[in-house]
Amino acid sequence: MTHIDDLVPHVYQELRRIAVAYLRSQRPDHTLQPTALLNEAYIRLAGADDSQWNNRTHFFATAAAIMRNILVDHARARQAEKRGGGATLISLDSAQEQAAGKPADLIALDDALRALAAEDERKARVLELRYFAGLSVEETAEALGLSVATVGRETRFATAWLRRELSPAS
Amino acid sequence: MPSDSRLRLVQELFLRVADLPLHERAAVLDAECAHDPELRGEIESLLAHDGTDSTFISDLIGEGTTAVTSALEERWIGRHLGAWRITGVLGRGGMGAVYAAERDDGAFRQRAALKLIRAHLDSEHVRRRFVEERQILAQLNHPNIARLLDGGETDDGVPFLVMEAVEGVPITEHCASRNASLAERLRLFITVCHAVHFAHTQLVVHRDLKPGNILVDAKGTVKLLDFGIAKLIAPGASTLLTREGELALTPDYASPEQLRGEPVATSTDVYSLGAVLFELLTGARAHTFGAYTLPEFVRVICEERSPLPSEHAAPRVARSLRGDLDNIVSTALRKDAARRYASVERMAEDVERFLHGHPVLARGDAWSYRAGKFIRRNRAAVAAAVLVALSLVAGIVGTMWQARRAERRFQQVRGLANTFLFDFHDEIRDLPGSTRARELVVRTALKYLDNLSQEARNDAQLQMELAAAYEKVGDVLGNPRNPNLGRTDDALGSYRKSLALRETASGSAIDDADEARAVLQSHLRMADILTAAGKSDVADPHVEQAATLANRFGQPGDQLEVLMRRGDLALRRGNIVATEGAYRRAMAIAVDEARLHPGLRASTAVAWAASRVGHVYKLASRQKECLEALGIALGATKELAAAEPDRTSHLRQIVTIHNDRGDALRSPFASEGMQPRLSLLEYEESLRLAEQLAKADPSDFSIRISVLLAKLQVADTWREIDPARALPMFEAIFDELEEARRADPSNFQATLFAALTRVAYANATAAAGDLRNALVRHDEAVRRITAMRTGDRGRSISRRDSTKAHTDRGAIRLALGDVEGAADDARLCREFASQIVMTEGRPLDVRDVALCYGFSGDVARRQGHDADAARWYGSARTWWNDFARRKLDSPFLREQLASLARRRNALRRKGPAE
Repeated sequence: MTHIDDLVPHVYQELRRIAVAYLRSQRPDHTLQPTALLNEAYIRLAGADDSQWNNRTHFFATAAAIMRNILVDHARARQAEKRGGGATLISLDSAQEQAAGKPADLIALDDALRALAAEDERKARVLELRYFAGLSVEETAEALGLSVATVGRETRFATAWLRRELSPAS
Repeated sequence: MPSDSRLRLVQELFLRVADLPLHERAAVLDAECAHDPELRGEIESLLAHDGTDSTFISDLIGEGTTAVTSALEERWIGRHLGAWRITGVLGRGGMGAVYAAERDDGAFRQRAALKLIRAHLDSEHVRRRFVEERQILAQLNHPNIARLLDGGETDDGVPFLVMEAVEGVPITEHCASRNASLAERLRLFITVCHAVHFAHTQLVVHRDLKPGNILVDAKGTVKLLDFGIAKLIAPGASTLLTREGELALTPDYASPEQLRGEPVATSTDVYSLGAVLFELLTGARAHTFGAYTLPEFVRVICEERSPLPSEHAAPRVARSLRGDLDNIVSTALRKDAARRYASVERMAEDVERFLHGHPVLARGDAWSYRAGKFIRRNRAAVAAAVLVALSLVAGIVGTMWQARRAERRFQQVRGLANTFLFDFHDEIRDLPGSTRARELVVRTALKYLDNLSQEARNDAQLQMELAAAYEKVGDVLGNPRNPNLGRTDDALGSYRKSLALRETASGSAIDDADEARAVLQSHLRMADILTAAGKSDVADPHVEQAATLANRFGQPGDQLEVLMRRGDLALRRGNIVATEGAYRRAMAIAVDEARLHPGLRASTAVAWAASRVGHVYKLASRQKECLEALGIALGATKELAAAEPDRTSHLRQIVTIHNDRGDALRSPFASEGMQPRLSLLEYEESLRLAEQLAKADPSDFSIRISVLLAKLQVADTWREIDPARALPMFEAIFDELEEARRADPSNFQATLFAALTRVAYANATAAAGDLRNALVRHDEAVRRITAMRTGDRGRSISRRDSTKAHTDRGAIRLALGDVEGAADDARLCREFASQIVMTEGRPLDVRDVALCYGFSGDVARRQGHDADAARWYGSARTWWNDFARRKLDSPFLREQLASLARRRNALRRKGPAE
């Protein structure tokens, strides 16, 4: 069995390759979830030789972090692009207003997950697997070697925590 | 306390209270946080964000994923793949991203759509099969199937296909944006079926038919995309699911066998086409999924009853879907592939049958369907069948009535009444012999609706239904455009009620297009019925109100209807120029519509407009244009009559066209001269068809009038060929005319024909040489025309006919030596002639006026009033010369001018001599 970390570059490359040819959305009201991309990547990477991965969950647990990196990096790059050039002077009032009313974005989500990890790394990891890899409670439990009940409790609490962090009013 | 364990404490307490009722929650927090208000604040703020809904997090991630994929896609722009250069992103299909590509071989440029396919060409075997399949698809050569032009592999092994670029929109969007009629939608669908069937004969199954793969371009051409591509991607049994059981394609058009992972066949395409047809008919998807998950797809597609289009369409549309179209769609959507249509071609044939009004193969149990077909087979038994059905319904309704008022019963009665009013009535409307039955049906429905509306005065929808019922009652009673019972005054009453109800229901400011069009229809009906009652001056405001609504809310069809009425009214007023303008514009709209949306409805409009244009040219005595327009009208209408043999309206149209052709052929202003023998053939054909229709439905009053008119024309033409033979023909008509007049005294046409027949009869008597009897008969004709003049109806018509009647009678009186009597007639004919609006007048009016002045000159000459005679002859000459201004020249006109010149010369010779 190959060590997972050795495969990261392959997974990364594969994800990008799939994304190129992937449908953005199957119906207009349905945004593409990374799960779909990960599924595809797993089939490709595991398709020829299952022995590289001891199971699908294992793969997903690894890919979740990669997916998160890809998405957040892209969001940061775009933000930098937007800011590039002359920074606009804005009054203090409107700056505060903007900060308060601004809907949460991926970067904020990433920051919040980092903050959560600083306090309790496991909680952040549970959320990462649940949301970025789309794993079920049972799959997450398996991947992290936890009980299903624990994952359920962690998910509920951590989600409330995350929502509070990301809510515009806080 | 370290933050780690602090967080654990927070989580523990949070989870302990999260599911408690609020008051218990407060109690626990009071106890646990008595000395730690900060902890309490923390818990409460987290509780405020507790909840199962985490969609905003997945939405954020979804948006991010979308952004990444599209950014990656854009990097492909400018790259070369084989001979192709990618120029842009076109969109994303189920198979992968679609790029715009261009081939530039120096010599020529070709634009195409390039698809990157999510397929795995892992082995040489798979790769070879992919290439083979590609070659089969490349040979799929059909005008409605987008060609596969090329294919290959990118450097990193992603296969791609190059397809003919199609600039179109999904078929559903195409139909919705044009508000295509039912027939237009079905015609398009049939085209799709033919293309799919062609591919099936080449052993290619599409596997992923959906509106997004069925495009229609600006010219209305259908192009099917992605034929067989699903198989290239997943050569296994099912294309819907990936190996991991995840969804690969949209489930909305997928068949049960695809969901179950079973082999696909041509019947899979039948199923998908059923789902597409469902959407075309209703605007809604065939399946409604409670969640976007695989188990839900399986439940809905493999287990739930197939939906019926009529259950998902707007009430107005639902009526036309119930029965045949419901059955066609549900036959295609059967879960068991073996019970679907055996082929796509069979399905197309059934849709075609529906369009032509023939029974379809797909069967359901809708009673109105069976009733309708039954009636078609047993026309004589219509009334009996309806009575049986009515007594049945009356029984049910009666029982409900006693139970009374429960809301559910209320709705049931209402539904039943509407079923009667729309399904059943519409089914039998155009059947010959159904006029009485329609009255029964509509009146029964009206009675129940009326009762219901007493109970629910504030129910605007019910009031609209009631208005529709009144409109239908009016149609049966006297709509001159349909078979009717000839009860014009009663019909007017019904239409008034209908209009009032609609205006009340839609309020003071109409802003709903459907309501506006209902009110518009009411105004048109009012205009028609008032015109039929000879009150065309009060019809005008209704046409103008309709025009205002049509301008704001109407579709081309509405504009066309308004223009037709404007033309009709201008015609009544004798304004030929205005009539011609209105009819010609209407015809232009109809022809445009027919080009944009070909189909039965469009052909009907063209046929109708062409026949009216022909009619006005007949009146303008422009024989050549007239016969041309009528030729178009006749050809189109005959085709329609063949396509819809049960619709009497086409046959009625043919009756009118033949009549107009007869008139044109014996026009005194025809440059080739009159051709009464040819006219006779036209009138006889008109008569034959009219009698056929009258026999099928003896209670239809309007067709009785057509029969009488045709007989009158035949007799009048014989008057020109052989007057002695014409006399018994006229006599045979009188009784029938009187009977018709008694049947509907308010119908102006019957009265008018009765009077005109007397004039023609008297003239035939004179032409046969019997002047004495001719005079007696002229007296009768004058008496009738004078009677017609009382009251305001038909004043303008009687002016012309009075002019002619007095001229003709005076000529006989003069021939018989009654100079005084002739002088009376001369004075009267001039009086009426001066009232005819001549500037826009019909050539026939001009002729009658010229003849009146010529006759006046003759009388004055006989009286020895030479100065008067010279004056009247001068007036006559002026009017005859008016034909030259109108660029009309004919043997008749030359003869009249020559005759007038002889009489003037005689007057001059006599003058100086005395």
